[in-house]
Amino acid sequence: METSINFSKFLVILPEIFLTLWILFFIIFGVFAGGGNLAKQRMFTLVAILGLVVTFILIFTSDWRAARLLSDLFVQDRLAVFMKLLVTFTGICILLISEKYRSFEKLFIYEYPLLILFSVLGMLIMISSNDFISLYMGVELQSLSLYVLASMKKDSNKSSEAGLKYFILGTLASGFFLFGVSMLFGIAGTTTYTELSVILVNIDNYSPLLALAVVMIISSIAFKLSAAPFHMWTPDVYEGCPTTVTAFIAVVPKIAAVAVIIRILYIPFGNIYDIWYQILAMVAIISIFVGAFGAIVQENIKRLMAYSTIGSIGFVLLALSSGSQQALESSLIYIVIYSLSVLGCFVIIVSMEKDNVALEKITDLSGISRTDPFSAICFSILLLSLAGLPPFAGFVGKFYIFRSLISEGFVELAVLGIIGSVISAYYYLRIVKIMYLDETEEQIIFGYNFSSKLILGISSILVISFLLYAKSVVSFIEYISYSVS
Amino acid sequence: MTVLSLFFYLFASVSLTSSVLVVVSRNPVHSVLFLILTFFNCAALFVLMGAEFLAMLLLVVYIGAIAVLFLFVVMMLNIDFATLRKGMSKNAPIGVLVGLVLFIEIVVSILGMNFEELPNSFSEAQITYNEIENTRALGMVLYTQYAYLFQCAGLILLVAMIGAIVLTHRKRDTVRRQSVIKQVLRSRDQSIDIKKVEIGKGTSK
Amino acid sequence: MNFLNIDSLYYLGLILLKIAILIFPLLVIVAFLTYVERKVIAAVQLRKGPNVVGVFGILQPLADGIKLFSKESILPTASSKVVFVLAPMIAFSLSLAAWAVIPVSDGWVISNINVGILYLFAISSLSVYGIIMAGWASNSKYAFMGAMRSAAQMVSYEVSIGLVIVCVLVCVGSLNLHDIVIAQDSVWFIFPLFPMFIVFLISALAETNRAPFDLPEDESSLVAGYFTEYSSMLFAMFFLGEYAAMILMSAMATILFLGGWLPPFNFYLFNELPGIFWFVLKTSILLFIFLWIRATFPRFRYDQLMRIGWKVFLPLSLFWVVVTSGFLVIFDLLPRPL
Repeated sequence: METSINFSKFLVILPEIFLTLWILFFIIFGVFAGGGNLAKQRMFTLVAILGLVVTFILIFTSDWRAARLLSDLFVQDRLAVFMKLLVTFTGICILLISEKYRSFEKLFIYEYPLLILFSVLGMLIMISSNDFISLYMGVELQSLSLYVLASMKKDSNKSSEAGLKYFILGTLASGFFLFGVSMLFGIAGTTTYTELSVILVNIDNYSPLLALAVVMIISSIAFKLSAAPFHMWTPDVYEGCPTTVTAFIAVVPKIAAVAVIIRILYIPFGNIYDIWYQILAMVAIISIFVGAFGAIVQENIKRLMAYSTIGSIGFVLLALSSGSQQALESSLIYIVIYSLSVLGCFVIIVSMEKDNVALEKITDLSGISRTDPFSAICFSILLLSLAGLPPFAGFVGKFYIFRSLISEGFVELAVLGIIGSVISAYYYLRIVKIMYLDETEEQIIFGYNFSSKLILGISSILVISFLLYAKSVVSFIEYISYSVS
Repeated sequence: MTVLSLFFYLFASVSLTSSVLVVVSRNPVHSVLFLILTFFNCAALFVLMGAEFLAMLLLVVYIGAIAVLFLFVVMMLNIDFATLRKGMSKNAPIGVLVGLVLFIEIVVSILGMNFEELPNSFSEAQITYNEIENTRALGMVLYTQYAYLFQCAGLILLVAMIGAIVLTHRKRDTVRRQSVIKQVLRSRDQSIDIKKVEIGKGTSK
Repeated sequence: MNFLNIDSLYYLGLILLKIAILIFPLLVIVAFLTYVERKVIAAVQLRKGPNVVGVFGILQPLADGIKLFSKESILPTASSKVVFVLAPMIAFSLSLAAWAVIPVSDGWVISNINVGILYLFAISSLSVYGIIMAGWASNSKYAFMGAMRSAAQMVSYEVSIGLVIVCVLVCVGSLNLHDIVIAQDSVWFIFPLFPMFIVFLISALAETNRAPFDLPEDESSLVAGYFTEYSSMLFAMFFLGEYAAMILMSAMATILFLGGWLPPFNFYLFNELPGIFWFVLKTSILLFIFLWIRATFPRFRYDQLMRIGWKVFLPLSLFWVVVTSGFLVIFDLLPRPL
C-alpha cells in the first residue's frame, strides 16, 4: 500500500482543500459575527466571494497537466480545470447579483452564501472525480446544499414545495445511480473510471446487465441535468425557489453535470458507445421538444427559463450522442454560451421588482423598451442568442453541434434538432415582442446594483460579439477537450 | 444444509416478509416497526456473512438512532390514511406496471449475463484481507486509501446538519430560556434591594 | 438434515447450559437488587425499610414476585394489543441479551466476539424500543409523553456514551471486551480517563432512566410514564428489565474503566481470589452508587437534562477523544495490532 504522499502532486487538490477550510472558517465566523442587518450580510457575501475568488486563482494557477491522485479517486486534466473555472466564475456572479433580491425577500441569513460555497465545493469534487463513488459524494454534497437553498424561503409554500420535490426526486435519482453503479461493480469489480475503460472493452458489448447499469447511471445524471423525460421537477423547482437560487440552479450545476456526463461517456463508457448512443439521442430529442412545446404556454418567466434549460440541455446531449471528438468540443462550446446567456437573463429576472416585491410574470415585462431601453436591449440580445439566431453566440453554438452531427452522419438527428430549435425560437421571440410592442401595464423597476449591471452588460456584449472571437474560443476549447479522449 | 444456512433462510425470509409488510400494513407505526424488523434481520444476515462490524453499525446507526427518530415522527403525525389511499387505487396500476417492467428487466438482465466472462478482479478483491478481522480491515482502507471519500462524507453530513438547522430553527421571543451563566454570576446586590419601609406608606414609588 | 448430528447437539446444549448458568443468578440478583435498593434508601433516610417478610425482610422480593404473578394482566381497550404485549418482552429480553458478551471472569463468557463493545452499545441503543412501543401502544397521554421523553433522552445520551467508549477504544486498539480488560493490567482506565468515567456514569443514569434523570417515569407529572397502563407480569418485565439494565451498565463501567475481573493490586492474596469475585465486587460498588444517587439527588428538569447531554457532555467527550488520541500519538503509546 502506498503511504507516502507526493506533495507536489498534492498541490493539484489545493483549491478544494482551500475552499473546505474557508467554509469551515466561514461557519465559525458566521456564528460569532451573527446579526441580520444589511451591512453584516454584505460582509458575509464578500467573505464568500473572496473565498471563491481565491479558489478561482488557485485552480487557474494549478498544474493543468493530467494527473490522478488519492488512489485514483481524483483526476486533474484540462477539462476539469476549465469546467472548475467556469463553475467558480459563475458562482461568483450569482453571489454578486443576488444581494438586492435577498434584501427584499428577507433571505439575509449567512447560511445562504455558505450553502452556495458548499454546493460549489460539491461541484468541484464532481468535476474532478475519477471514480463513481467520489462522483456520488460530489453529487450529494452539491444537491443537498441545493435542496436546502431551494426551500430557504420558509414562509412561502411554493418554496417548501420546491425543496421537497427536488429532494424526493433527487434522492430517487441518487438511488438509481447507486443501483447502476453497484451493478457495474458486479460486472467489472471496480468503480474507477480509468480501470473501467480498460475492463469494459473485453466484455460482450450487449451484455444486458451492463446495458441496464448504463441506463440507470445515465438517467440519474440526466435527472441532474434536468433532461426530459427526467425533467418533471424542473419547472416547479425553478418557480418555487427564491429567484437567485433558481439562477444558481439554472447555471452552475448544469455546467458541472455536463462535465460529469462528458467524462463518464468518454472514459469508462468510451468503448461501449453502442450501448449508450441511442439512449442519449432519445433523451436529447425528447428534451428538445419538451423544452420547445412546454415553454410556449408558460406565463411565469421562471417556468419559461426552466423549459429553456431543458431544451438547451437537449442540444448538449444531442451533440454528445455522436460520440466524436468534435461532438465533445461542440457541447463544451454550447454549454459555455448557454451559461453566459442564461446568467445574463437571470440578472434581469432577479432584478424584476415593483415596490420591493419581486415580479415574475412574463406580462410584467410588457413595454419595458420605453421605460428601460437598456434592459430591453440586453434581454432581447440574450434571448435571441438562446434562440440560436445569427449573429449571436447561441447560433455559433448550435451551428457547431449540427456540423458535428452531420459530419458523423447523424443527419436525421440534426434535422430534428433544427426543427426543435425553430419551434423554440417562437417563445423567445414572443418575449421580445411583449417587451417592444405591448403596452405598459405596470411600472416595473429593475433594481440593479453596480455589479449586476456590469455582469448584464458584459454578458450581452460577449454574446453579441461572439463571432468576432469565435475562432479563438473554439481553438481554446479544442485544446481543453483533447485532454479527455 | 448446515446450521448456518438454516439461519440464513430464517433471517432472509423474515426480512423479506417484513419488508413486504412495511408496504402493505395499514397502520404507519406498524410499518415503521416492520421496517425496524427488516433492518434487524439484515444486520443478522451481515453477521452470517462475517461482516460483524457492519452489522453492529447497522444496529447502532439505523435502528438505534435513525429509526427511533422516524418512529417518533410517525407517531406524532396524525396521518389520515383514508385520504392518502384515495389516489392509491387510481395510481396503483401504473405503479405496479412500472415496477413489474423494471423487475422483469432486472431478472432478464441477470439471466442473460454470462458470468464466465467476468473479469477476475472481482473475485480477487474479496479475499485480500480475509485473514484480518473486518473492523481492522475496514479501518486500514478507510483512513488511507479512501480518506478522501471519508472526508467528503463528513462534509455531506455537515451540510445536512446545517440544512436542518436553517430550515427548522426560528427565533421565538416568547420562550424564556435559562441562562446558567447569568444565574451563577448574579450577585447579591443585583437581586436584593433592601428598603426601609415606613409604616403606612408601603414600598410603592 | 445433517445439522442434527451429535456434535452440533452437544454444542447447542453447552450454549444453553452456559446461558442458564448466567441467567439464573442474574435474575436472582435483579430480584434482590430491588430489596437492596429499598434498604439503602431507607438507611439514607433513617428508616428501617422492608423488615417483615423473613429475616430483615430478605424475602420481600419473593413476596412481591408472587403478588405480581397472581394479579390479572389488564389490556386497555383502546390499546394496540400486540404491540402492548410485545413491548415489555422486548425491553426485558434485550436487557438479558446483552449479557451474552460480558466476561464475568477470565474466559467466563458465553460468546467472546470481536465487536463485543459495539454489540453492547447496539443492544443498549435498542432498548429504547421497548419503551417507545409501550408508550405508543398504551394509547394514553401519560404513557406517550413518558415514551417521548425517554426516547429523546436515551438517544441524546447514547452519543456521549459512544464517544466515551471511543476514548477507551483508542487506548486498547480492540473492540473485544476480553482485550479491553487485559489492556488494563497495568493501570485501570479510570485513572487516565477519570473525566470520561464520570461522564459515563452520569450518562448511564440517563440511559437507564434512573434518578435523577427518571423523567420518563416522573410520578408527579406523568403518573408512571411509559408503564402507566401496565400491570401484573407485563409490569414486572419492565421492572426487571430496568434493574437488569442497571446491572448491565455497572458491568460495562467495570469492564471499561475498573479492569473487569482483575484484582486491584498484583498481590498474592488478591490474585488467589477468583476473578468473578472482583467483578461482582466492583459491579456492586457501582450499583450502590446508583442507589446512593437516587436517594440523594432531586430530579432534573427536562430541558436541563437535555442541555447537559448536548451542550456539556457531547463537547466534553468529543474534546477528550481528541486529547486522548493526541496524547497517544505524541508519546507514541498507540496500541500496536496484536
